Amino acid sequence: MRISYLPLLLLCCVAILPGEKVGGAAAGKHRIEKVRVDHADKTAGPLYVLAGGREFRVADKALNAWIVGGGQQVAYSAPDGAGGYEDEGNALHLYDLQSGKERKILSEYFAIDQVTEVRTRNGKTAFLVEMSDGGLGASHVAVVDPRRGEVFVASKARLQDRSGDVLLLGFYRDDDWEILANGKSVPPYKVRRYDLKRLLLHAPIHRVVAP
Amino acid sequence: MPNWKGIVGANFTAPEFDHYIATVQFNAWRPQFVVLHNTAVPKLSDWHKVSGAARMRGLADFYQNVQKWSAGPHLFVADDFIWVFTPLNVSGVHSPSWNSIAWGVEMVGDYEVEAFDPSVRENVLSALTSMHATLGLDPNILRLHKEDPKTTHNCPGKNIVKTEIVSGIQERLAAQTPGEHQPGAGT
Repeated sequence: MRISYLPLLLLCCVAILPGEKVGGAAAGKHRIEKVRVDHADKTAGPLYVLAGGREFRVADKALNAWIVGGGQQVAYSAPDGAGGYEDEGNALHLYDLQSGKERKILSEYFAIDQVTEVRTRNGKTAFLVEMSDGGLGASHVAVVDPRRGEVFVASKARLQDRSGDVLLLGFYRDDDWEILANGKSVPPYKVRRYDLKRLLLHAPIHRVVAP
Repeated sequence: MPNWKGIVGANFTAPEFDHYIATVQFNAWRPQFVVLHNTAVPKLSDWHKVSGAARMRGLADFYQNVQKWSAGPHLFVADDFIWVFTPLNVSGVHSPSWNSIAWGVEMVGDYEVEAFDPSVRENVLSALTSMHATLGLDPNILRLHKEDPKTTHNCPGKNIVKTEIVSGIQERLAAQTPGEHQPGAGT
C-alpha cells in the first residue's frame, strides 16, 4: 500500500505561512501574548495576534485591539459601525482564539477609544466601552455583554470611576465639551451610579444605520 | 436636551450664495475661521440618489434626534449647489475644539477614496471666498477637521490638499480686489 505524504506536506506549509488568517484548535492551545494593528493615522488596517510564538492575521480592518478572556480572545474596534457623524461610527468585534471565529458585539455611531474587561461579583463578564464623537466632542459609555452584545449606552457622559460592580458616570452639557476639549476642567452637572450586574440584564441594543 | 437652532435648508449657486451671505447680519455670533470637512457618507457618487431637500431633512433629523445636538455644520457643498444648513450667524456643531469659534463647511464626498470632484472644488472655493471676504478672514488660518486633536477620524480624506484650498481662496480674493495700479493702466 502506497501512502501519500503530499496532503500532510501541504498542511504543514499552510500552517507556517507568516501573517496567514488562521485559528481553531491549534491556535487555541496558546494564549494571546500581543496584538498589533498595522495602520497609519486614523485609518483601519490588518489585525495580528501573537500566540504561541506565532503571529496570526485575524482581521483585515481594525483600528484598536484589546486582549480579553484570559488571553483567549481579542476585542477589536473596526470602522463598520452604525454610520454616525461623517461615518465615524465603530463596531466592536470579539475574536476567539480557540474557535478562530469572530462576532460583532457592538455597532455604534461613535468612535471607540477604550475597552475594559470587568468581572462582576456574580461571575459575569462585561466590557466597558468608552467612546467619543468628532462633532460635539462628547464622550459616550457603553456596556457590552460579550455573549449578547451591547446592553447599555449613556450619551454625553464620561466614566468617572468604577468600584467593584458600581460605575459612576458624569454627564455634561453641550457647551462643556469644547471647554474639556481645550484642556480645562468642568464639573459634570449630574453624576449617576449604575450597577453593572443590573445593566447586564438589559435587552440588547441594535442601532439602525444613520444618517 | 439642547435647544435645536434650526436649519436654513436652502440651496444656492455660487453667485447666489455670494449675494445671500452679504445679507446675513453677524451681531450675536461671528466666527474666527473655517473648518473644512467631508461628509464621507454619503459619498458624492450617492448624493443625488436622494433630493438635496430630503438630504437636509434627513441630516437635521439625525443631528437633532439621534445625536441630540443643538446644530450641525453650516454648509454642505455639492457639485451643483451650496446648501446652507445651520444659519451662518449662529455657532454650529462640527469640530470638538472649535465649535464656538468656527464655521463648519462640509464638502459632499468621501475624499479618502473619491477623487476631488472639479465641480465640488469650484463650489467650495467660491463659497469659502465669499465667507472669507464677508468677514475679512485670513485664509491662512483655515483648518481641516483632522487638525482638531479631538476629532476621531481622518476628515477630510487624503485627496484634499490644504495648501491648494488656501491658495485657491487667496487667488480669488486677490482677483476680487485688484491693486490700485493695474499693469499698463493709464498709458
